[in-house]
Amino acid sequence: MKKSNKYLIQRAGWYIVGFGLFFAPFAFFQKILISVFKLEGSGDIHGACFRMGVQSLFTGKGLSLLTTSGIIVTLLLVSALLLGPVFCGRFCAAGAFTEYISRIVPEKLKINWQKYINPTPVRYGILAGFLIVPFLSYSVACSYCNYFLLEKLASGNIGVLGSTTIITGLFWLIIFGAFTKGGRGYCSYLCPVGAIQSLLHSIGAKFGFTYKLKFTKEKCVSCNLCVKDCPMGALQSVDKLLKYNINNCITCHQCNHVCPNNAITYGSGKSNWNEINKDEVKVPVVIVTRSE
Amino acid sequence: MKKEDMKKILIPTVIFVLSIFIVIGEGFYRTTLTKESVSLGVTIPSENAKSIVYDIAKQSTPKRLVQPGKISLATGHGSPGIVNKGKEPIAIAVKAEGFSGNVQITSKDPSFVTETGKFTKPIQPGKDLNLSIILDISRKELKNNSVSNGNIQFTDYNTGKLLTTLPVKVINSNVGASR
Repeated sequence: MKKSNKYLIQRAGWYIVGFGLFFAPFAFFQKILISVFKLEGSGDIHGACFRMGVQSLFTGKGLSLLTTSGIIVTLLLVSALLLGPVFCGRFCAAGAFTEYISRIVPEKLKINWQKYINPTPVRYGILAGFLIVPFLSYSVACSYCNYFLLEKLASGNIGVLGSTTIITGLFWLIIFGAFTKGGRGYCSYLCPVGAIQSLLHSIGAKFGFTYKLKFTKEKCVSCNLCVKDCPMGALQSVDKLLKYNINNCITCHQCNHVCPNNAITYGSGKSNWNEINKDEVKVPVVIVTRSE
Repeated sequence: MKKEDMKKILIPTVIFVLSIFIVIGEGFYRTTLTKESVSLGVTIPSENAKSIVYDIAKQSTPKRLVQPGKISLATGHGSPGIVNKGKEPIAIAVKAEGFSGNVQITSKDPSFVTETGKFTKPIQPGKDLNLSIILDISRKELKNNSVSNGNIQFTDYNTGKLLTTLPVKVINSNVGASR
C-alpha cells in the first residue's frame, strides 16, 4: 500500500473519533462535560459550537467558560496557538467528509482553486465579515453551518432544509468539496473556524516553543508528492517552485507522511520555511514519476 | 513603489474587502428568508391562538427548487415557544389534524413521546416547551392556491380538556385563487 494511502486511512480513524466526540447522536465530549462536570450545553454539535462562541467573544457578549462551547472554544484557540489547527487536521469530520468524497472523484473533474485564488485574503475576509455581521444585526453563525448539515446527513433524516442550508450544501459538498482538488475548498475559503485557528497558528509558529511544520531544504528531492497530496492546497508548485502557505495549512501531516526523505517534519523550533522568502520556500521542482 | 509590489498588496486587499462584503451579503440574504419557516409561539391555555399563514410563494429559489413541500413550524430561534400561562402544571398532548400529507411532530424535550404526541412530564406554570412540526406536502398539491389547511391541537391528556387550537393555512399566492 502506498505510504500516502496508509496515512489517509490512519487519518480517517482520527476523523471518526472527531465525529464521535462532537457530533450527535454520540457527542461524547459534550455529554461528558454535561454529565460529569455539570456544565450547560447541548448534547449535539450546537453544544460544541465554535462559531457562536467566537462571535459572542468578539461582539462583547462574552464567553461563558463554564459551558460546553466555552470549554471547546478555549481548547481550540489554545491548541491552535501551540500546536496548529489540530481540530481541522485531526478531528473535523465535516472537512474530512468532503476530502474523502473528492478522492473518489476523477482528477480531471476537480479544480485546484487554491492555485488560482490565494485563499489567505478570502478566508481572513470571511472571518472578518463573520465577526462584523452581528454589529449590523445580521447573523450567519447557524444559517451557513456545514457542521449542522453533516449532523443532519449522518442522522439519516435531513428534515427541513432552508435556502441557506441548501446553498451551504452546494458549496461545501459539491463545488468546493467533491469537485475541488483535495476536497477542502470550503475549509480553505469559507470556514471561519479554520480561519481563526490558522491566524493563531501563523502567529504561534513565529515562536520556537510551538509546534509547526518544519522544512529541511537540503533533504528535499523535489518529487512534488507533498503538493499532490496536500488536501488544503497549502503546498503549491508555482512556476516549478514550491510554495507553502501557513495561513491555509491545517497541519494534517499528510505532507510529512508522504515525503520520501523526511524533508517536511512536525515539531518545535524554527520552521525554516522562511529562510528564502517570507511565506514561501523556493526550491526547483522536478516532476518525477511516483514510485509505488 | 514598484507596480508589481502595488499589485501584490492591492489584489489581496480587494479580495479581503470583497470577502467581507460576501458575508454581509449572506447575512442580508438570510434576513429576507424569515418567511421560509415559522417560529411557533403559543400560550396555553388560551381560547384563540393566532392562525399561521404560510405562503409557498415567499420561499427563496433554493428552497423552492429542492424542498418546497417540507415546511417547518418550530419553537426556538427567538420565538416565545409553547408557554404555560396557567397556574397549574399541564400534561400536554399535541395532535395535528386536517393536513394533507405527512405531519411529523417532534421535540428535543426528553419527556416527549413521538408515537403518542405526549409530554410525559407536565409543563410547569410559566415554563415553555420545545416543539417542532414538519409538514410534508406533495409537489402536486403546491400547485393549488389553497395548499393545505389544518390545526395543531394542544390538549390536557389527564382531563381531556382542549387547551388551544392553532390553525395553520398553507397557501401559494403565485397561483390564482379561482384555480
